[in-house]
Amino acid sequence: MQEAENPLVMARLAVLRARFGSRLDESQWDDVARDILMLWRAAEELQHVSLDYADPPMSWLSCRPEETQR
Amino acid sequence: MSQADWAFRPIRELAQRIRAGELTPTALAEHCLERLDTVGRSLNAVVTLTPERALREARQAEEELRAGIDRGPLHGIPYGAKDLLAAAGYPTTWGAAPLRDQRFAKDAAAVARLRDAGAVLVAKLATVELAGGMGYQQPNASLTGPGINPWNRSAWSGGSSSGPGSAVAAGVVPFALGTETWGSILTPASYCGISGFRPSYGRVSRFGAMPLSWTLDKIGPMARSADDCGLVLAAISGPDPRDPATLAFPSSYDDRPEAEPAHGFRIGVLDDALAHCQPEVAANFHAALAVLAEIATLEPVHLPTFPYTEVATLILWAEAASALEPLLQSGAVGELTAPEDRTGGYAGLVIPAVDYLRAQRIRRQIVAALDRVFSQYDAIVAPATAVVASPLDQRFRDYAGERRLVISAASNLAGVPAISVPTGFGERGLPTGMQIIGRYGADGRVLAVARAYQQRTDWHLRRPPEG
Repeated sequence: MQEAENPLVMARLAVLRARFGSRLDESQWDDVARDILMLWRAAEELQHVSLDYADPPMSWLSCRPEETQR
Repeated sequence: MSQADWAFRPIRELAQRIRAGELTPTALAEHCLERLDTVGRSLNAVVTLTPERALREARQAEEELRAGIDRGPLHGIPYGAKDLLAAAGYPTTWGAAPLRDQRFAKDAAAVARLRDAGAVLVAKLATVELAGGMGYQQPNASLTGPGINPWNRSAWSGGSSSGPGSAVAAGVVPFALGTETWGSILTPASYCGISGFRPSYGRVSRFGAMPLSWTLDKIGPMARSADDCGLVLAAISGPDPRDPATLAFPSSYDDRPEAEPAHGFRIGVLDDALAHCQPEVAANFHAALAVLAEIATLEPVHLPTFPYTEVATLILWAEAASALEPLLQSGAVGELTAPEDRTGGYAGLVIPAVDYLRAQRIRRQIVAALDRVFSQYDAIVAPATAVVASPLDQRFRDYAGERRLVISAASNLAGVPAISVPTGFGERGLPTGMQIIGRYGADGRVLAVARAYQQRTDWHLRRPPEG
């Protein structure tokens, strides 16, 4: 499996296995690994967007355009 | 007007008939309760009927109107609320089997505001479990079963506001409240051939609603027409200290003709979206553009390039994992209906904080860039969905493939208002829709464009076959 070849995915999976133990069976852990891989790939796509050091995130509860003008 | 017509009629007409003594709120509520128990249940649209509250509120409306106390056009009008919204004392299941006995002491803010406007709550309506926050991939993902489409009972209703979509379409209730984080109002509205409005982020208080994503969640009306949506929006909007995201916007709905621009609207057309659509969806969209050309100048428009889907995915998965962490921690997700929902939340727990923050930093760029585009138009239009409703027995990806419209992620990230209105019918006799999207805060302008479109078409008046 592709996710099995990705050490960053496996590291996150190990964290979840440590936290939730034997709650899921092996086929379910495979599904979780696929989700982790999908999220890892999404984050990789974000690396292509250029950000300045000073660019802040949208704040927690306000996503209004005027906030971007401040 | 026969009794069978009642829940298909515009809210303004029902209100007028109530005041003329041709109809009583109690008779209307009883009619809806009966339709919910028969037609609504056959569509898997109902979680809980609320007959005691409905009849109490209906009687109160009658007494008040007799006494000359008029709370406005919703006074005495029945409605259903998606079961993510609390109604004091009744179960609020969030569509999830492990939460079938969950109850809250207070009404959600939107439900309370409708109560204050004299509306009559007749039912809690079905939703995809946990609003789809665990990543469901096929229709059978709710404790009430898959949402069934009244236009074709072998098709899905859409989600996650599945019950509001099919109940309004089938003439079971005149309107309903839905919620949208990423497509959950516009998709079932389009699939079921009704009008579904997603307000600007922060216009409607989420107090008492299940949190899925604090920076994406919105509550909005689902009804037969844009005008009905506007009437409901006006009643549920407004700041609420219990939801710090809410703002004191200017009036949300103005139905006077002078609210429309004298020289017509200026509308941007997202042509790019058509490449991903089924042929009938595209053809009906072109026909809708021909109608809009009577009232607007149309110009092609393109979205700025951003990884919208990836940004929305990271934000939604991280916030959902946080909001629903108690259900993951306790193992209650293991009792969910869809097998994929029993595992779908865990990966969100290990998204690095820097990935989430990068997504929110890019989102700031997205919001600013989209505002520059939207500020040039009264509205931007695109097909509401790329495909019609999928068959009940198919996974979404097997039916639609990669045909997903990126505008859905983009507009939800930007928190801008949008409505889905019906444009005709496509594959297997299922409805198609057009989304009309506006600048942040321009909810009234979006509704004005939709209303003008519906004054020139009758797709929103069509009714599905009974039974």
